[in-house]
Amino acid sequence: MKKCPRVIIETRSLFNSPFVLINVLILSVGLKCKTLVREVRKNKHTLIDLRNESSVTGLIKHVDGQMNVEMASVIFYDPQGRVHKFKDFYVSSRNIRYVHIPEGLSSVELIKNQLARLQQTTVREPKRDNFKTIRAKRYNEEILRSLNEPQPGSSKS
Amino acid sequence: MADDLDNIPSITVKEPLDLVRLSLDERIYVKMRNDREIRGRLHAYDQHMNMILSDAEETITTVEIDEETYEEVYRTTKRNIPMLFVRGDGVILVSPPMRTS
Repeated sequence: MKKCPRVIIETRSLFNSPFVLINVLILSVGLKCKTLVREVRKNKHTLIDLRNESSVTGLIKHVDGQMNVEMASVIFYDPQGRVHKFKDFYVSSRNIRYVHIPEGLSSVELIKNQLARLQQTTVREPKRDNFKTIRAKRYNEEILRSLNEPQPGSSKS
Repeated sequence: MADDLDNIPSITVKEPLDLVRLSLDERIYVKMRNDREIRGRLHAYDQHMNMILSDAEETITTVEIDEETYEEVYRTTKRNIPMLFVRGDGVILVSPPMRTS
């Protein structure tokens, strides 16, 4: 998943706070969807309306970067209205029309939290220099030493 | 008055998506494929036009042709959803709500 499209995800909180601009470089294209749908899992049954007029309701087990959804203990309503029950269900992202987000979750807050977590980039110091760096530093020191040694005859520093 | 004009923060609109940005936290009207329309409050969007709408009302319009009189009957079905995530590939257009209804 090495795509890095620049995405501007703009959100406003529900409580009329000032306009918040969040510019993020994200690794996966459907991050916002994944974020939200992921936060929703395990908690409550989520209803997903599919493109072919069918719906699935169940617990979301996993969402990937493309927004494909894996669900468990689902009830599936087909376009004719018949009811089917499945233990596991997989929806490919293209077939999703709507996701009904269960109540009690502030979607905007969830997205903001995820983005804040992603933006906390930890600076990783290299523990050990690699061979080339060590060699280059050693040559550097030798050159500096040879330059600083008093040259016979010349007094240029 | 001139002082007020100077203090207005400039919101730069550079690309079409910026126009959607202007509608954040406002009620909008979304026209979707398959003769669907949604009105709701826009909370978030992204470049695919995936959107999160609260207090959404979906309207599905169907045309039924009466066999006897051959007239077209337009029927609408409405649904109310408190918090809705819309996948962007179904969106045709986004607009401020039209005050016809």
